Amino acid sequence: MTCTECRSPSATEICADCARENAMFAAWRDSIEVPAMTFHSPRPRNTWWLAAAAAAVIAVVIGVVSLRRVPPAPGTPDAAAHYRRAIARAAPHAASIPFAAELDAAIRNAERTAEPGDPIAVAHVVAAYDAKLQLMRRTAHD
Amino acid sequence: MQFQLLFEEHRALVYRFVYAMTGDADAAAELTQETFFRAFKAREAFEARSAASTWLCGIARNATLNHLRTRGRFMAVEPQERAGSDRADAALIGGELRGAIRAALQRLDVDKRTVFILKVIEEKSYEEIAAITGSAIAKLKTDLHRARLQLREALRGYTEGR
Repeated sequence: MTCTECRSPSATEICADCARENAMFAAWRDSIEVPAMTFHSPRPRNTWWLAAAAAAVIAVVIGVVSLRRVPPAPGTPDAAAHYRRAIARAAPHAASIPFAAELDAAIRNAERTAEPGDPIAVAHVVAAYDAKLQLMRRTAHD
Repeated sequence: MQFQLLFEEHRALVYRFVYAMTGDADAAAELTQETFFRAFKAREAFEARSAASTWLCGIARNATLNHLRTRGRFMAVEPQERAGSDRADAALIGGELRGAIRAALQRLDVDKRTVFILKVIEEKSYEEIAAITGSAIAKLKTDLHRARLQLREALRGYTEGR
C-alpha cells in the first residue's frame, strides 16, 4: 500500500516518516504559546448623545451671545449730558440764536445716528452740541 | 455570554492556525481578535450546519489571506519570531527546530500551507477542511502531498536520525 499522506510505499496507512513528522509537528503545535486574550463585544453605536451635545453647545453659544451686555458707547451719553448742562447754564444769558432750529436738528440727528462705541459718532454729537453752545455764548457776549 | 464561551473554547485553535499561517505572533493576536469580531457580527447568520470550529477557521482563513495579501504588498521581509511566542519550557522540541518549522511553513504557498496546518497540525478531517477552504477534497489531498514533500526536504537536517 501507499502512505495516505505522502503516497510513498508503506506497510501501514501512514508511513513511518509521516508518523514521525506528525509527532514533530504536534510538538511544535503544543509549543505555541497562546497569549491571554479577552473579547469585548462591540457596543451598538449610539449617536443620540452626539446630537444632544451639539444642541447643548449651540444653546450655550446662543445664550452667551444674547446675554452679552453691549457696553455703553463710551463718551456719547456723557458728552451729551455735559453739553446739555452747559447749554442750560448759558440759556438765560443768551439771546435767541440764529439757526437754533437747524442746530437742534443737527444735535438730534447726531444722537440718533450715533453707533455705540463709535468715536466718530461721539465727535459728531460733541460738534453739534458745541456749535450750539458756542453760538449761545457768542450771542451772550455780543 | 454564549459567544464569550465560544471565544474561550476556540481562541487557542484560531490563534494557532493564524500563527502557523503568518509566522507572526503579533499578527496572530490581532487576526484572532478580528476573527472573533467578524464572527460576532455574523453570529445570527451562523446556521450551525458546520461545527463552530469549522466556521471560525473559515473566518480566520479569510482574515489571514487579506492580511497576507497586504503584507506581501508592503513588506518584503519575513516576519521575525518574537521572543516568547513559543513556550520556553517546550522540552520536546528545540528552539532551532521550532524556528525552522515556522520558516518552512512560510515557504509553502498559501493553499498548501492551509491544508497542511489544518490537516496535520490541527488534525481536521478532509471534509472539515473542504468546508473551510471551499476546495475539493481531491485538490486538498494533492496539496497536502506536495506540502509534505516540500517540508520533508526543508526539514531534512532536523528529522534525519531522530
